[in-house]
Amino acid sequence: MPLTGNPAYNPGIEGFANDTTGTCRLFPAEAISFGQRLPFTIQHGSVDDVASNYSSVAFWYGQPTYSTQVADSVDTTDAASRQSHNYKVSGDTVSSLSSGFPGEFASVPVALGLDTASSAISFQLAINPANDGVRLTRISDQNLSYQTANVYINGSPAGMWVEPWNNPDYRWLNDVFEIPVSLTRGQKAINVQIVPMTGVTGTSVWTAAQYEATVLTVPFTDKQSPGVVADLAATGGQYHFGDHKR
Amino acid sequence: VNNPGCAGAHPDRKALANPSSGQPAGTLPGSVGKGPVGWDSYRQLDQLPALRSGTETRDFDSTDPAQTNADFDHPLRVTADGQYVIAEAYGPGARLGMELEPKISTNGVGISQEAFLTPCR
Repeated sequence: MPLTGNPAYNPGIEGFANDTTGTCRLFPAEAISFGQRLPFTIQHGSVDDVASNYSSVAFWYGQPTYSTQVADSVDTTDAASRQSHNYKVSGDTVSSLSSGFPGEFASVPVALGLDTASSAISFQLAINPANDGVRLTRISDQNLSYQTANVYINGSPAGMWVEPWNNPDYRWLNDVFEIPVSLTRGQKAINVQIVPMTGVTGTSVWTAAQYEATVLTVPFTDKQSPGVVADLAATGGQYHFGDHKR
Repeated sequence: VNNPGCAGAHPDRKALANPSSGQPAGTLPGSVGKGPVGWDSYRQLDQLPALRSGTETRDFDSTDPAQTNADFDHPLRVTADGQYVIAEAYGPGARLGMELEPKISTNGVGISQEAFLTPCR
């Protein structure tokens, strides 16, 4: 089955002034996470340096019978967040890192606290008992490749979490681990234990700025008010991002 | 089987050998279940929007991590015998990935490639 296509192409003849092409891309297996909008960008030219005239259309196929819900998160370097989530680790190193997430906004530095450890880490996250599984998302530092750990949920093995990516230039990474429904259905909270191991490229540490639990569940009405948006003073530059906290 | 990715595997791994085992019967009221998984995603296009619990899709590329134009020589890792690993993912009881062997000759650069799915034991 073709997932990419180039159904029409004209090299600039028969009345076409320019090299003209039409392309398509299908994402059948990729359930791309998004909220109210999904930025989809295309690189024009080898380093995105060519102006292009084009129009595009995107079809999104959704259904009203399934949803995701952000349930809880722990900030690994915040004392209050650590305490309220029973975050435990020994021999860890707390630091701060200002770097970018790869992609469209890679050049925008994001400053976060970072916890680096090579011994077992454990914490507790609240979830919705009516779930079809839980997605655990980590914000990690991908300066070191193949961070590897065994994951236990309420003491039961949930699999090995391996992150091959490595990017010393844009170090922040959203890194996902799916927790099977057999370990999460009916639970009000999960105790997560992460036991770092030495990965295939020799990395023996595990890094995290934040862990977030997203519950797969039926559609719900979000009645929680968003928090106050702060830091909206524009100082000049290409991008401006507010600090939006719940 | 040359499977360095399985080194250090936890002894409890055997308990996870069948990822579909241990799933509670049925689905949540109102949900349609997790939908097709893996290759079935492509065979059942009517299930396109289904969210799939307990499964994940990973994508990898070898483009320049610095986001300049050096879109070459950026494998995830190089094996001891010179294979470039450009995709690698781990699931319960298995490792999935793709390796390339760069072959440089007077005629240019060629590659041979191998995709694999190997069990961790």
